[in-house]
Amino acid sequence: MLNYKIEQSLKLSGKKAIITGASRGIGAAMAKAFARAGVNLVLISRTEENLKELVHEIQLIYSQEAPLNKREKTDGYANKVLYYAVDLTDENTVKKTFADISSFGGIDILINNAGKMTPKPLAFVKSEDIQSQFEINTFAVIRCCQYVSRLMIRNGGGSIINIASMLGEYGQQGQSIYAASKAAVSGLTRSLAQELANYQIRVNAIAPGVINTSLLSVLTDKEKEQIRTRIALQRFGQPEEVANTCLFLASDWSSYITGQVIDVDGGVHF
Amino acid sequence: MTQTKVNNIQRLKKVFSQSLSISESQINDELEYNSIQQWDSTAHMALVAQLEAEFNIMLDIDDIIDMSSVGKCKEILKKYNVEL
Ligand SMILES: NC(=O)c1ccc[n+]([C@@H]2O[C@H](COP(=O)([O-])OP(=O)(O)OC[C@H]3O[C@@H](n4cnc5c(N)ncnc54)[C@H](OP(=O)(O)O)[C@@H]3O)[C@@H](O)[C@H]2O)c1
Repeated sequence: MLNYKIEQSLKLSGKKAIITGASRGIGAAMAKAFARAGVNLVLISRTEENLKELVHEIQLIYSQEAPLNKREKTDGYANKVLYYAVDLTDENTVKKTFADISSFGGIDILINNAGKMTPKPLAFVKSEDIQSQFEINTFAVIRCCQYVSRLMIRNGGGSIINIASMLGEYGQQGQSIYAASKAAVSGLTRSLAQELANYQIRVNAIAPGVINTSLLSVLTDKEKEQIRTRIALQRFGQPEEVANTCLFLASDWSSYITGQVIDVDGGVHF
Repeated sequence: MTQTKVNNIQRLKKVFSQSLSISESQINDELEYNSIQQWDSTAHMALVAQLEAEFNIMLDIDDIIDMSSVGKCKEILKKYNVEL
């Protein structure tokens, strides 16, 4: 966790961010980090109970730490958090959700974090494995970028951060479909950065290495150990370490950075 | 013509003029996408964003692609219950 002074120096207080896949893991860590920085949040994922619990935690953060709420007593303005328990693989749902969000005005930050990993050797990959991973890891990201870019244009700019993966950059046995779906995100990021620069929208991606979340439950202990030995820092990352990079990319500290895929992987070597 | 319709036409002209950086006198139903250098793909996105903000709507991708002239834009906006 960054200290309060660093979070304030990011000058994100009062901005509006959408975080997909916010209900647990890296997304939940991001939501809390952005809340501490005083950012108003729209949280999206499917499971309502998890989102409700997270919203409760965020409200506590707002009441105790967030810069805007320190001002609440004097100017009557406080941070806000909303959630949408929706499936982002449904095109119509994505449209409706963004239409609803648009009624609150422009958006400054989008973090496309929702994702899914189904490791299998190619011979065992079914059509539905391909479809389901591409639907959330790639197609939903493209659609969210399409809708949010229009909300950012009205705001005069913004920052889109896509969560790609180290596997999309380097590949790994048994991960061909997941890796392909994430490599597509890196390609999307580089191209979109060129296209949206006209509107002062920066587009970057983070390629996390192995981060300690429930996503890893699909890996065996042996697989995890094999991966660990290839990490220079000899440990898995924490969700907060990805969230910190996200804060940087969302803030003006990265104002001259766009079209980049930043590895947050403890120095993985293959 | 109702007052709402008159106001909406005025609002539409303003959005076109601001997003394409052209004068309101240049705006008529026949004005087409790519027929003037100011209405290129970059300006088209800005136009869409401003239309959505002005009329509080979210356009379908197909409608964004179809919006090939001011006249066509009016037709499309009517589908979103904008009186024009
Ligand atoms: N952990 C790692 O080592 C690692 C490494 C590289 C990249 N990543 C990427 O980082 C991102 C976050 O991963 P994580 O480790 O935090 O995974 P996680 O704990 O499994 O969280 C995934 C999140 O995505 C949401 N989600 C999944 N499918 C969805 C859908 N169809 N619609 C809406 N929300 C959906 C989940 O919530 P619901 O189930 O409630 O919908 C959950 O909030 C993913 O894109 C992942 O690919 C992770």
